[in-house]
Amino acid sequence: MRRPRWMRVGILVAAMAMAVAACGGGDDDTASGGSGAGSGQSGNFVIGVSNTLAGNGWREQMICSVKAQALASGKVSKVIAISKNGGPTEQIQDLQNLISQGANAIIVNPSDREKLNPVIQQATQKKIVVVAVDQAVSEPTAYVATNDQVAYGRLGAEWLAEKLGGKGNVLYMRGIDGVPADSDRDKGFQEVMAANPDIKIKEVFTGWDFTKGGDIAVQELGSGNYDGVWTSGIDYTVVNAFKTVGKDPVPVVGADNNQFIQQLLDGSPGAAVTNPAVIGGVGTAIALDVLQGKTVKRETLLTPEVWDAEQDKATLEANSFPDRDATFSSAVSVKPFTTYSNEQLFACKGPGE
Amino acid sequence: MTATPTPAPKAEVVTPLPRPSSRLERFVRRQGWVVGVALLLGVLVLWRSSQIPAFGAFEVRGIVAGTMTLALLAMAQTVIVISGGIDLSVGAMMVLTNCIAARLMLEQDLGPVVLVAVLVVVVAMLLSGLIGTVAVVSGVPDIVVTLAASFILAGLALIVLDGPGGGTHPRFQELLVGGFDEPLPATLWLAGIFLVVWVPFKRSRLGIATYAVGSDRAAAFLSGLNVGRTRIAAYVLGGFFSGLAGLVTTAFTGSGEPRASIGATATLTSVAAVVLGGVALLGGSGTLLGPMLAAFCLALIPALMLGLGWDPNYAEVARGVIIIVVVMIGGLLQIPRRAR
Repeated sequence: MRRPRWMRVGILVAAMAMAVAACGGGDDDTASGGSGAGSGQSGNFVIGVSNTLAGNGWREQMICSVKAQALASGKVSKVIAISKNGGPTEQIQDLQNLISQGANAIIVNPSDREKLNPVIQQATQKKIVVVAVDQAVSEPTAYVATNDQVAYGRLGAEWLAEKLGGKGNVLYMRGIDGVPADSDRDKGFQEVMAANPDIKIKEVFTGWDFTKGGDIAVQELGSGNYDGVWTSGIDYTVVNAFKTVGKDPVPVVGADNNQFIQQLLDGSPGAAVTNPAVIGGVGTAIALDVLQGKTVKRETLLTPEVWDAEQDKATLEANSFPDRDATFSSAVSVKPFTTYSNEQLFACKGPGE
Repeated sequence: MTATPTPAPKAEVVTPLPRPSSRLERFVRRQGWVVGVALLLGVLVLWRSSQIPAFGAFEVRGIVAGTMTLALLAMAQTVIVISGGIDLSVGAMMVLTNCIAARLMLEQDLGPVVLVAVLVVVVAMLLSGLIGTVAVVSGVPDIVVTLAASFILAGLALIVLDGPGGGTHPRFQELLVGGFDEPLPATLWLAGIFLVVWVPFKRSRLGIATYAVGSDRAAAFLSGLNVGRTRIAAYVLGGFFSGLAGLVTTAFTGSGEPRASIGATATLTSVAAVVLGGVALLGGSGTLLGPMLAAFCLALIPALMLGLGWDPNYAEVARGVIIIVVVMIGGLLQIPRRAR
C-alpha cells in the first residue's frame, strides 16, 4: 500500500496531462481552421460577436441575424459568438478573447458607452472592424448601428395622438427608468405630447417585463378610463389585460413582438412600431462593407416603421410568424442591409456550423 | 507451595528507526501539488497558444491582467482558510473597494489617486479585521458571519455608487494593469506581492502561528498561542488582498460597478481556486502559490472553450467538472497516506 510520495504525485501529474491531452485531441481541425482565417482574404473573414445579456430572446435573435447575414454574404468562414451575462469587465475580457481568436470584425452590443473604448481602440489598431449595434459607444474608430429610439417614441406617440384626435387619457407604459433607450423614447414621446396638451398621460414603468406589464395593465385598465395605451414594447400582455378586466380594447401602441402582430391581425386596435433585433445583421453587413474597402459612414440610424392594424394589413401578414415565440421580433429584415432568407435567420447557423 | 510462574515468551516487537526523508521527498511532500498545478497551467497555456494565430504580448497581458483580480481574491481566501476560517465576503469586499476607489478617484490627479488607493486598502483591512473579530468574539462560525457580512458589504457598495460609474486616472491604470501590449506591470505586481508580503509573512512568528491555529486550535492554544488574535490577523491580511483586488478591478475597467452578483461569483471562484490550489479547507496546510496558479487555470478555461468553438457558457460546467475531478484525484492519492 505504501507507494513513495513522488510516485503518487507522478500519477496525479500524469492523470492531469492525460485529461488535458484527451480534451486537446479534438481541437486540431478547428485550430488549423482558425489560424488560416487570420489572413483576411475575401471570403474568409472571421466575425466575432459579443453580447452580455444571455437568455434574452431579442438578443438571441440579434446574434442569429449576424450568423444569417454572414452565411448569406458568402464572405465569412466563421462566426464566433460570446454570449454570456456580465458587465463591462467581462465584456472587455470577451473582446480581448475575440481579438486573440483572430476575428476580422467584431459586432458588439456594448454594456457601456465609454468603458469599452480602450479595448475597441486596441482592436482597430490591429485592423479589426468594430461595429457597436443596438447601443452606441463613444469611441470614434468604431462604427455604430442603432435603432432610432427617439423616433420610436415619437412615431408611436404621433400615431396614437392622431388616432385619439388629440385628446383623451393615455396610459404611458415605459421601460426601465434611467436606461438610455427608455430616456430616448421618452424624449420622442414627450415632444408629441407637448404638441397635444389635451392628452392626459398616466406614467408607469414596466421594467420591460411582460408579466409585470400585464399586471400593471390589469390594475390600471380595471380602475381607470383610458382611451389609448402607449407601451415601450410590453404589448401583448397589455392587450390580454383588456380581456381579463372585461373591457373593450382601446388602441395600443406596441413593438414588433410576434404575439402582438397576431393580435393586431385578429382585430385588436393599435399599431406596431418596429425595433428590429436583426440590427446584428445590419452591423454585419456594415462590417463586411468596411472589410472590403467600401466607405461607410460611422453612424447608421434605423428609423422604425409603424404598422397600423387596419392600413398595413399586408405588411403585418408578411411579418407574422405563428410558429415563432411570442416575443420574436417580427421585423425580420432591414433593407438594403440584410440579404438572408427567413429560413437562414430561423436556422440560426453561421457558416460552417 | 510456591509455583514459579513461567514467564511468557517475549514478543518480538521491533520499532524500526524511521528512515530519514530525503530532500527530494520533502520537496515533493510540501510542493508536490503546487508543481502539479503549475504543470497543468503550463499545459493550458501551451494549448491556448496553439489555438490562436499569434500568441504575443497582447495575449499574455490579457491573461495576466484579466486574472489578477481573481488571483488576489484566491490569495485572500487562502490566508483565511489556512488560519482555519473561510471568508464568503471576499468578493463583496472587492466590489465595495472597487466602488469606493472609483468614486473617489474620478477626475483626480495621480497623486490623490494613489493616496485613495492606499486609503482603500487600509479600509478593506479594517473592515475585514472587524469581520474576523466578530467571528472570533461571537463564536458564530466564520461561514455564517462572513456570509452575512457579504450582504452588508454589497449593500454598502450600492450606497457608495448607485449604478455603474466613477473613474480613475489613466496613468494609474497603466501602473497597475499595463497597456494592452504590456504584460509586465500585472506580472510584476503579482510576483512582488507574493515575494514582499507572503514570503516574509509565512516565515514570521505570526505566519507560523497562523498555520498552527488552522491545524489545531486547541493544540495551538495549549502551546501558548493567542488563537483569537492570530485568526483576526489572518482576516486583516485577507482584507489587504481583497482591497488590492478591488483596486485592480478599478484599474482594469477604469470604473466602479456595484452589482452584487459580481462579488458572489468571485467569492465562489476564489474558493474553487483554493481547493484546486491544494489548500485543505480544514485549514493548517497549503501555500499561497497553489491557489494563485489555480486561479490562472480557472480563468483560462473560458478562453480555451472559445478556441474550441464551444459555447462559453459550458465553461462554467467545465470548471466545476475540473474541480471535482482534480480534488477526487487528490483524495484518492490521500487514501494510502491515511491507511498507513
